[in-house]
Amino acid sequence: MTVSILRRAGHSLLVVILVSVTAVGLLSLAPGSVATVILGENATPAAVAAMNTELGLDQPLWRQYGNWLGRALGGDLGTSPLTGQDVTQAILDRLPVTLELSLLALTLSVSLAVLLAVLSAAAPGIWLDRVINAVSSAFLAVPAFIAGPVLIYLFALKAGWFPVSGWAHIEDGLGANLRSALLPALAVSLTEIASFHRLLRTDLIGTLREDYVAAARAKGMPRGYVMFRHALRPSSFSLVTLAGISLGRLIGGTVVVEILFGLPGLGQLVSASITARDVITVQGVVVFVAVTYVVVNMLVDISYGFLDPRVRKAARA
Amino acid sequence: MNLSTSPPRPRSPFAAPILRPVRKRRPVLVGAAYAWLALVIALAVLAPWLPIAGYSVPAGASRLSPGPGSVDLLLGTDSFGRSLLSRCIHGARVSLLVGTGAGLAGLAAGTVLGLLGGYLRGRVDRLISLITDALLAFPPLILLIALSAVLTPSIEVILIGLTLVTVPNFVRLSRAQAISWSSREFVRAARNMGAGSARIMTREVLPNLLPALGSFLPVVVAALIVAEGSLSFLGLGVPPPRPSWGGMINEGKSALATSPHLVLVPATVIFLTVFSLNQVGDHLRLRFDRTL
Repeated sequence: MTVSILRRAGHSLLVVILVSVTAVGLLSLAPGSVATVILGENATPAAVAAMNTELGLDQPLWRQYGNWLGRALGGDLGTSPLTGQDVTQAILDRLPVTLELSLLALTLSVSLAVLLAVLSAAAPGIWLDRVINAVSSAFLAVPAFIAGPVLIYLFALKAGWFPVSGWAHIEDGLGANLRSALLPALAVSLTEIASFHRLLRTDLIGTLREDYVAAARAKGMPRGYVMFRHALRPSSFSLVTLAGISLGRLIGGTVVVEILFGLPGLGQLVSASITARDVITVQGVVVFVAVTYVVVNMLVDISYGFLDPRVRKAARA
Repeated sequence: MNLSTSPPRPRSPFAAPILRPVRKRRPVLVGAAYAWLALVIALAVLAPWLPIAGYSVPAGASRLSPGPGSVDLLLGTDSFGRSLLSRCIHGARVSLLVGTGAGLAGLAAGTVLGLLGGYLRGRVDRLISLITDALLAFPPLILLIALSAVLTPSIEVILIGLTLVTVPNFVRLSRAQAISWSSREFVRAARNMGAGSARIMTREVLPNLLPALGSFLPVVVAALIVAEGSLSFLGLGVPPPRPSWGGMINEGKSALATSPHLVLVPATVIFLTVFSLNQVGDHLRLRFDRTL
């Protein structure tokens, strides 16, 4: 177990290094130089040179990376040359909103998907299964930038149940907070619900054909009990993987709804920095999100062992 | 609650695959999906010669609701009085070009890399897998945003960026397939007859990879159209006045309260296209992917 966890962690570390090299190298992709990107086309050569020195861009790439890594390991992702704001602080300020949004979206997706998958796997092929499959296929074709405006139109503008935009912090009351988070979370959830449902339905149908399920039913156990206590857990391993991947994706993927609903999260920070051509902040957020993504996926892989006794045994042997 | 109607049966090795019932009842929907895609592709290809208004000139009053009358006003007009029908059709050119272009480029590069890794194994495989994992470690939208932030958005930049996020998926698929095909008897037979690695890869393994990889393409194109839409929605897509579906939603969202059709028309077009591509993809995959 320990060996496999260490091996997995080593692999993740390699990936993180590659990711950070790419993110640092990103700056050298800019046409002209980053300084001209930040200062604009009309900057004087002297100003450009000064900016390059300030950002350390006049040094060779490997040294730039070394410097950057040294500071990043200490938690310093640089300072925005435009606003003078500390990038790490800016990220930490925005993180709670994005995190809450992602976790809420994930909770919504998993619970709805489990409900739908149980209903459709219970009797594959009957009308209920077909209706659920049709809805699920439709959800798969509704990305956040379509779901968002449509949800705003239906539930905020027409029905008036939710605010059109804006974020209520938890300090303002949990109810108001959830009301401002629900529509954006739902908007990013639809495609996740669909893919979770597809996966879990197939796995459940497979598990329900196992002998031990037949044995449980033959003993006279209620069908709902067999479904939830005997079939659901062994069917949920692929779902856990996918949910982990999806949490990582959501942390970077709530950009669209954050812009649409005007929520002060990481996505809005990135978007505002792009408009302002603040490449240093963009770089910081990209590294932060990518590393989070790698770490989450690693934790999901390791959690297999705790969820599935078969993996635990195999690792010990 | 009655959760089951069919008694559980022990699984015999000859039992029908689990997905059989789903496979059988799709023809009508799949047919409709093919028809919609054919229509969109035909309109997009023929756009310059169709008798419709230009996409950047006013065709009527601003924000007209959809309605009969003239062809140009069929889907209404946007805030500048430009025909939404014309803009949807010209927007299809961008979406389809970007989607299929990046999809095919990703397919080609991913197939080659996956084949090399899956057949040769060893160091080559480990290197390719590591790069693949690193690419997959970037949430796709963040990688695209980072690229658009540093470079100026244009069709070429978007194409390169989308290809970059597509390649690793094809590498994984191609690698898995290559490993499974490489262990087959006919490959060993070819090797025993003295065929070199290059010949075995191109003549024995590659032809067997293509059906599975090709049938994966529509789903990838759908995902790419969504990605391009998200970028355009964030204002990082194709620069105006050239229309794109995501850009149209972006322009229309401020008028959502008074003229919802500005958003609903392009939203419906994207929905139908992505839905159709997914249906066609599922259909092809069930037929051609032997891992399913």
